[in-house]
Amino acid sequence: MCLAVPVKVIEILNNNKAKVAVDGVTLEVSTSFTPDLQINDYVIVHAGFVLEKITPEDASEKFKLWDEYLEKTGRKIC
Amino acid sequence: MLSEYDKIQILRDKIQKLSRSKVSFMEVCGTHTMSVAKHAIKSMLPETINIVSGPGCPVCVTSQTDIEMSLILARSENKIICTFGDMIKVPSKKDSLANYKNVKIIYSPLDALKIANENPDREIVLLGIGFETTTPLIAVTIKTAMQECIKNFSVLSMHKTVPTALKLILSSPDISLNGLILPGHVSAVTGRKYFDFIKDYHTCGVVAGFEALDIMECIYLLTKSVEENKIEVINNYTRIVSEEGNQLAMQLLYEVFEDCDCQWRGIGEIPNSGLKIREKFQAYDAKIKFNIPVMNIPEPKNCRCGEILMAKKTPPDCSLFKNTCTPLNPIGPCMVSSEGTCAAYYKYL
Repeated sequence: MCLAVPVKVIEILNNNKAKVAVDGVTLEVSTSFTPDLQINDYVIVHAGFVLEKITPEDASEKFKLWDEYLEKTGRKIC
Repeated sequence: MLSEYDKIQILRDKIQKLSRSKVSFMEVCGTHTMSVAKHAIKSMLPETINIVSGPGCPVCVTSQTDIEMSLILARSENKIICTFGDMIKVPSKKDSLANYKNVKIIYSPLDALKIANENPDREIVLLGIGFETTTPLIAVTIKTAMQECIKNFSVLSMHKTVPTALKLILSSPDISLNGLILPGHVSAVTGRKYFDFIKDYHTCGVVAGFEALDIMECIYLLTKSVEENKIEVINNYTRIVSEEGNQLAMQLLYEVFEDCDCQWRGIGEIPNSGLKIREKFQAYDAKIKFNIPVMNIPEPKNCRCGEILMAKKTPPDCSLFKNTCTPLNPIGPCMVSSEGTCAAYYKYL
């Protein structure tokens, strides 16, 4: 149940919220635990809340795994 | 450059070479249980290393009494029950939340507040399950409800904390563990230091991520510590976990919740292992708001989930496993939850 997904912050919103994106899918999340976020930060999200910031290198490792998975399964996300 | 696959092969050979003594390592988190089974990690390890599952699947450790309380709320038509999907099929007296159209699966606990705003004439109850990763989210949701004066919202808190159950397992005379695969995302909130107490029980621990390579690295580090007679708690998930964790999330958790005694499935009551809503936020405590009667519901006959959660038995030791208890007709929560040990054994082993 404690799954967390890496995403990129694309917009900082009011009321402790931010808009994040992964593979073209955007989502509004709560930033209550990470108030100092900035646009282009990479974060991990659990159940609609940002848990922690991560480095772009770590995020890109994760994204590479996704790309490999999508390539091998023949699926595509536009 | 080495691929993930190559690295796993190298680690497998290193573990084979290094391992001398017979050891047992426990995967504490349900997501680790699934990952170990899915990547066939056990098939890569020498016979000396035994991997057992622990009590880290929140649905699996939810007591039958708490499940029945959720159902009592669902049976009242003026309520909308919001829950994470994992809880929906857990049976109690041949009933489950899946039978009620007023039960909604949510992604984020904040979705429950949206539903409350859209349905002002109905009572919205959020089923609060989970450990330190999830409870701060529920705490923020309760605080937001208070700030926005949302009155038709409450939480049935079934939250638990990881250390108390681990202390019970580590001090149990009939369970012998040498190392713990510590939960990665719980540690993201609590920090690595939170688990230093396991050293008092002469047990090593490694905070691990959830990919096959993360788990193989963790088993290698645990094996190394044991073979070198070192008792240490290592953070091998530094890309997400820090020493101190997310202090703000922990503060918010304890601003809204406080420790209480709590029933764990199959284990029984563990003092100070649960989290109840503090008096200041009592208006959002579903147990008080709806005065739900506290009953003692026994667990299904012959179900061995409790012993499986304590690593005393494995699913094939249970007479119901694969006979009357299957993913389509689950009897105990270890088969219901997608992260339960029985579900993992059924699917992958």
